[in-house]
Amino acid sequence: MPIVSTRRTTLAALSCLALAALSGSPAAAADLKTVVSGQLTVAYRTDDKPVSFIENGKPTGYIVEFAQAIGKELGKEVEFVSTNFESMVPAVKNEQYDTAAFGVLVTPEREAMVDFTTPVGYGEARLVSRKEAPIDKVQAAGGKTVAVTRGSALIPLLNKIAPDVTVREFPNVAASLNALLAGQVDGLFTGLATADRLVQQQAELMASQAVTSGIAAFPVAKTNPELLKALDDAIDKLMKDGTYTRLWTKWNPPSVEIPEDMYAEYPGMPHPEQK
Amino acid sequence: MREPHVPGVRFEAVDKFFGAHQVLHDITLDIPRGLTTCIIGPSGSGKSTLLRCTNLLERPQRGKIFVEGTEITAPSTDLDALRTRIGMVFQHFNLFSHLSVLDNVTLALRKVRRMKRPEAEALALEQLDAVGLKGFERRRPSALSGGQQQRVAIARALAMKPEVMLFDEATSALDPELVKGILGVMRDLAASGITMLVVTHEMRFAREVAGQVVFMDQGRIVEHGPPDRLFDAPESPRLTHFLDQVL
Amino acid sequence: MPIGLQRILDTFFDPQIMGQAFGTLIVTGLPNTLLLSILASLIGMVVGLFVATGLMAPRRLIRFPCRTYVDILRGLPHVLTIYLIGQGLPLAGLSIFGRDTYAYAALAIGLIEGAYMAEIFRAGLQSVERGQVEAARTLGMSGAKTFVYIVLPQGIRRVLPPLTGQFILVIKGTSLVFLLGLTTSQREIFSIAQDWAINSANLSPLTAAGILYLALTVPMTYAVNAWDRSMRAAPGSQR
Repeated sequence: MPIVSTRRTTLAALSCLALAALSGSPAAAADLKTVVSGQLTVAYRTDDKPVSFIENGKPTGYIVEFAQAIGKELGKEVEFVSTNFESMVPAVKNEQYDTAAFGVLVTPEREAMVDFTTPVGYGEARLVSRKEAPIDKVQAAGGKTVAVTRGSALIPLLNKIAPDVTVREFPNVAASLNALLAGQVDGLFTGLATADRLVQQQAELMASQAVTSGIAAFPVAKTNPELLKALDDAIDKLMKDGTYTRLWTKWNPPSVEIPEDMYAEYPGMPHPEQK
Repeated sequence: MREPHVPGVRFEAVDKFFGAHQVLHDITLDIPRGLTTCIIGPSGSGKSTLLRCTNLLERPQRGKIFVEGTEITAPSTDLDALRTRIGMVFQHFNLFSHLSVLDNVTLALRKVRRMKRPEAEALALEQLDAVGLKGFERRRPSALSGGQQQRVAIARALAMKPEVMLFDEATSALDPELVKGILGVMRDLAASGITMLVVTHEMRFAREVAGQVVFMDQGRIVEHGPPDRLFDAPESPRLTHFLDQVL
Repeated sequence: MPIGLQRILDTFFDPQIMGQAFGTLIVTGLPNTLLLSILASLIGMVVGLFVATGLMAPRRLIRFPCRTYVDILRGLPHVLTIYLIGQGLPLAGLSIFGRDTYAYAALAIGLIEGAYMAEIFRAGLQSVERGQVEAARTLGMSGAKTFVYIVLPQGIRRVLPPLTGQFILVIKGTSLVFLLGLTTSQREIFSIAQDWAINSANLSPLTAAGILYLALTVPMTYAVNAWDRSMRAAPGSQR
C-alpha cells in the first residue's frame, strides 16, 4: 500500500463501516447517553500534526480520523471542538466533551479524574538536535538544555532518563524548533512522528533513538461507564478490522511503525502491507 | 555702572505677524529705566503681544529690541540667560500646580541660578514675606485665593532679581476686592525703582504710578507720554473715545 | 449541594490542589512575575516617554516613525510580537542576551507596553497648560529643564489612573513569557499554574494564580489612587 493512501479509499472504507454499523445497529448504541444527545462531542488539538490538527479548516489527523470511525461504529455524528491541552481532561470530567481525540497519556493524576479506554497508542519520543552539536542518545542529554512542549508527560520521562537535563518548556513545537535552530536550546524532545517530520524538513537536524513514553488512550467521564464500554468495544473492533492500521500508515512516515505493544494489546490486529 | 541715558527697553520698528495677520505695526518706543510704563488700549490692540516680545515669548518678524542696551533680537542671544533678567507676571498666575508655594519660588533659583536649597529657601521666604505671604510656604497653589496666587507669582519673579518686570493684565482675573491688594504690591515695587512694563485696564493705577503711558490701538502706538497729558489732554479721537468708555 | 455547583467547586476551587500549588506559586512564580513586570514596565516607561515626545514633535520626520511604531505594536497580537522579538532576534543571529529568556521577554513586553504608554504619556503631556511652560521659560529655564521639572511631573500625575491600568496589564502580560520557553525555576505565576493544571487535570491551580494576581493588582490600584488623591488635595486646603 502506498504511503499516500488516498482520501477516497479511506472514505470508502469508512462508509462501508458506517453502512455496517447502520445495518447491524446495536440497540444499546442508539440510546447511549452523550453530552449532546445523538452526537459524540470530541475535543481535539489544532497543533499536533499528524495526530490531531487542523487543515483546510477541518480537524484531521490519525486520532481524529480514528475518532470519526468510532463515531460511525456508535451510529453518532462526531462534533470536534478545538481546545487547549490543560482544560481538555477537566472538561471531559465535567461532561463538556465526551472524549478527546488526542494522544492523552495515562497518568495516575489523570486516572483519578477520568476513566481511560483501552490503549489507542503508545507514546514514543526522540531527541532532536543540531548536527553541528549532536546529542546522539537521549541518555546524553544530561547537562544540556532541552525543549519540550509544556505540560507534556515527556518531561518526567526525560528527567528520568537524563536526570541532569534542564527542561525548557515551550508552548508548541514551532517555538521549540525556532529555539533549537537559533541555538537557544541544545535539543528538542518530542513524539516520534513529529521528530521524524522535523528531521525530514530541516537538513541540519538529527534525531536520537526512540524511547517509549507511555500509554495513550481516550478519556471518558467516570459518570458514563456505558460510553466507556461502547468506546472500548468500538476500539477493539477497529483495531482488529484493520482500520487503525490503515490510518496509521496513512498518517505516519514508513519509518514510524506501530509499536509492538499494540499488537500484543489487540491480538489479530493486521500489520501494514509491506511494499 | 549702567549708562544713565540707556533706556531699560527699546523697541525699534518692530513688526509682528500671526500668520498673515499683522498684530504689531512699526513699534518704536523707549521704556525709561527705573520708571513704570503702563500700556493701555482696547482688547486686541496688540499690547499683550508687545509685552510678550520683550522677553521673546513672541519673536517679532522685523525690527530690533534692546534690553539695557543689549540687542536681544540678535540670533546670538542666549534666551535663557536673557529671561533671568526679565521677570514676568501673568493674568492667570501660572503657578506650578504640582509644587508648593515655596518650591514655586525656589525652583528657578536652584535649577537656573544653581543656588543650594537652604540659600534659595531663605531668599524665597524673604520674598514671600515682602508680598505678605508669610506662613503660606507649604501650601499648594490650589489652596490659595487668586490674590494670594498672584502674590506668589510676583515673589517668584522678583526672587530672580530681574532688571525689568513685565505685568500682563495681572489683576484682570481677580475678584474686585482682591485687585487693590495686588495693585498695592505693584505700587510698592514701582516705588523701589525697578523698570516696569505694565499692561493694564486699571486707569487709576496708570495715572498715579506710571511715569509714561502708552496707548495702543489696532497694533499701533497711537499716543504716548506722561499720564497727565494722556488722561487730561488726549490728542487723538481714538484715545478720547477709549477713555470715554473706560472711565 | 446541586451537582453544577459541586462541579465548579471541584474544578476551580479544590482546596487541596490550591494549597499545594500556592507554595511553588509564591516561592518561584511570584519573584519571577515581579522581576519580569518591573523590567518590562521600566523598559515600557522609557520607550513610552521617548515615543510620546516623538509623537508631539513638530517635524513629520520624527512624528511619523513614532506614530508607525505605536500603530503597529498596539495593533499586532502580543503573541506574534513576542515571538518576532524573542525568537526572531536569536534566529537572525542577534543573540544579544545569550540564552536569557527573561531579557528577551522583558524587551519584547517592554516594547509592546511602550507603545501603549506612549499614547498615555502623550495625552498627559499635552494636557499641561501652555501657561505652565511659559512661566518656566520666563524664569530662564531651558526647554529641557522645563520638560523635566514642569511638564513631566504634571503630565504623569494626570495620567496615573490609566498608567496604573497599564501596569496591571503588564503584570498579567508577563504570563506570555512562556512563549519563549521556560526552565522549571524560571516559570512565572501563570506558567506554574498551567503546568499544574495539566498534570492534575484540574483548573484549581489557575484559580490560585488568579488570587495571587489580585493580591498584586488590587493593593497597587488602591495605593496609586490614594497617592493620586493626596496629591490632588493640597495640604492646608480649605477649598
